[in-house]
Amino acid sequence: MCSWRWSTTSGHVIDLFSTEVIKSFRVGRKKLGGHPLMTFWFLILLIAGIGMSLHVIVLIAAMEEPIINPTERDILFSIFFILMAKASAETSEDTMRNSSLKHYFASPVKNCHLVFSRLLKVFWYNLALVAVVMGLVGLIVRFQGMELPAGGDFYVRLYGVVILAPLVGFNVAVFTHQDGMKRKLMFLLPYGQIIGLLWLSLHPSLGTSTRLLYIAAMALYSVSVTYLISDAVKEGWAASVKSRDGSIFSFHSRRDFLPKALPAPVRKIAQGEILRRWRNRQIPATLGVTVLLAAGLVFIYRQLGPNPDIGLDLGKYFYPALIGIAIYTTVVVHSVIPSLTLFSRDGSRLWSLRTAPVEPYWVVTGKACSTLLFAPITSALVVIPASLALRYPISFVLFAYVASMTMYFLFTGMGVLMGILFPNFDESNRGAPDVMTMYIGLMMCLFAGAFFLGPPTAILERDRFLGIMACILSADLAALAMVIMFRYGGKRYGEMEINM
Amino acid sequence: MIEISGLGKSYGDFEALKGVSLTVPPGTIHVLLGSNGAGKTTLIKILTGLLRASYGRALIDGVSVWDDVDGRARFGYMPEHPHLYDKLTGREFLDIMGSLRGMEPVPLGGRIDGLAKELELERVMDSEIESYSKGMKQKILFASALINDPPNLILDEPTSGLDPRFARYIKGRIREEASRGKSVLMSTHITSITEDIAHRVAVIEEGDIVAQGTPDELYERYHCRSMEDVFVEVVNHVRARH
Repeated sequence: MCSWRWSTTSGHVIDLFSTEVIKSFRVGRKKLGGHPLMTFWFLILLIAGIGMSLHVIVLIAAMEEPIINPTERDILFSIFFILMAKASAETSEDTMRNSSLKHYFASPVKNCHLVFSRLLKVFWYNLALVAVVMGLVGLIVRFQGMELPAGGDFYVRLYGVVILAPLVGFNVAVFTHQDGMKRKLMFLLPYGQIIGLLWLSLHPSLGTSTRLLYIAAMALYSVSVTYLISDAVKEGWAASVKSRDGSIFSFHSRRDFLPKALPAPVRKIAQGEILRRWRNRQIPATLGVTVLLAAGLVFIYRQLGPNPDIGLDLGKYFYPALIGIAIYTTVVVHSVIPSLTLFSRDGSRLWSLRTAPVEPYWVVTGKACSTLLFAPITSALVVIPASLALRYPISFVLFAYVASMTMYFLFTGMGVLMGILFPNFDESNRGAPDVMTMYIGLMMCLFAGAFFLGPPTAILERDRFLGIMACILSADLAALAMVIMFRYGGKRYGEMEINM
Repeated sequence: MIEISGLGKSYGDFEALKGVSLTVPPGTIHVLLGSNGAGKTTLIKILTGLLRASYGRALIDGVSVWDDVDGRARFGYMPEHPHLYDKLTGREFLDIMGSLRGMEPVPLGGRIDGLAKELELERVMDSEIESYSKGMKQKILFASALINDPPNLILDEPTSGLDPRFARYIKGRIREEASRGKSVLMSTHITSITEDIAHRVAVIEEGDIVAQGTPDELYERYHCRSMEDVFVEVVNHVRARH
């Protein structure tokens, strides 16, 4: 436990926090200086993305009977949840699974000083992100002369929620990394009530000051919990970075489990990737997300019925669009994000592949196969249950399935190429792509997907058979584009200097 | 056979290597002896195709492995730090390394078992590498360098992190590999290892080879009795020039 002499404690916490800020600043400066054009595109896409979202909000607000009519409570709670999940994921990667923290844990720094410096990092970085986004929202609203359907009180309450989210997200990450299910539940069950309490405190019958008072009390409670669990952070960290030989994720097989039809180097590299991603729990986690997406689609259907009226005679497009979004999200989670990190996550381990007598193209293909091989399964997981629940004809199921394969081919190629062109070899965040690369990658995938799938969708509306055939042609072209991107990516990987 | 001639590497204004030349004929153990940051690892990384040379040539059996991927089957490499895939088992890692070098499953399996027995790793071969000690990781690296029995060995600080018993074993094994006609280029800053196994020594300092010859030639040239004295004498001489 810390001795709470404020000046000493705050001094240590701020020293540790400052170290992180300086490190982030240097990484950011190197990134921005190295890729000025990419930074420019990132800003353009960010502003365009926010602008489009604001226009959609204004459009929905202008409808007489909008199909989606969320209350302020729904919106605030959703923002809280997204920011909490983001903070939780960041804490998980940056603190709980960061093996380089051993230097701090082994030094005479008190646990709570270290813990509060990490909390401060998550807290301020998220606050800074919200400030940037809100600043852009303000500028766009002013220059476009929009009228958003929200009063001044909304922003005050939003601010309260934005402050609380990272505090809760940090603690949730610490609890989920405790060793053993019993221990996780012991911490999470009592603390998790805070999420329910927030929902209650956002009740519309309560005034702004009352709501803020409740949120402030919860924030204070969260910080107190962080102080009390500072030893549990170290225990959770130790449990997360140690070997997990005994877990169900550590199955071992001496036999090849991929088909022999694949060239030997591709098969071996893909197999190694799959084993590592399975043992790191990435594959189980992404499969879980896919199942949740499919379940979410069925849930929305049950809530809104078969023909939701969203005005402008657009109701018939509602579910196909939702299925399209679900497929896009699945492909992003399963393929784009892993592809972006295929080489940067290896970092200093890349020597083992680079000194092997294998053509760079095969290395890239082998690594990409580790995500591509799951495409038929994950596509089916999203497309088939949703289409069956909605009683769509078999032609639609077939079209959606081929469309998802098209996205897989195209997005995997783009993800791999961007991952090689803009690698992030920062060991402290384990090679995760920076926000700029990720955002640009996802937006480019969205545009490329629309380009490849727009024409087949238009044809499908007129003729089902021709629409499916056009989609198959798109899938072929996407596969060709993927091979070209692998070739070019291989060339660039072959020219990459490995000096880590 | 390893041939390096006029090899240089620059990072902006900083010259990490300044036109280094050396040859390692078959059956020879050539030791690169140098201080920390002298350029040993840079030289080895260029030779193994991890870095591109700014100028000069680095050839293994007449091939530059930066340009010729197939030439990479002609050497075994052991890096200085045990950067391994922690979530793979030792067996899986060696299986991938052997397969990528074109080995068929049956001889590869036997080779892995043989090396595991020799390096006393049998008990942990099916455990994930993250549970290994540093010494065990070093042994896996050594095994991966030998996996396809290549004609050249390039070893960066091969005894780092090993207990004295295994350090002695590794030295014996390197001697044995050289006696079978392999070219061995290894770096170290431990002078006693150099005395024990080196046929030829190159002292590298500030990116340049400042002394080169057999141990006896170096003792005679610098009027010293040990490699440690030779090294200190040479390095002090270089630094005195600045």
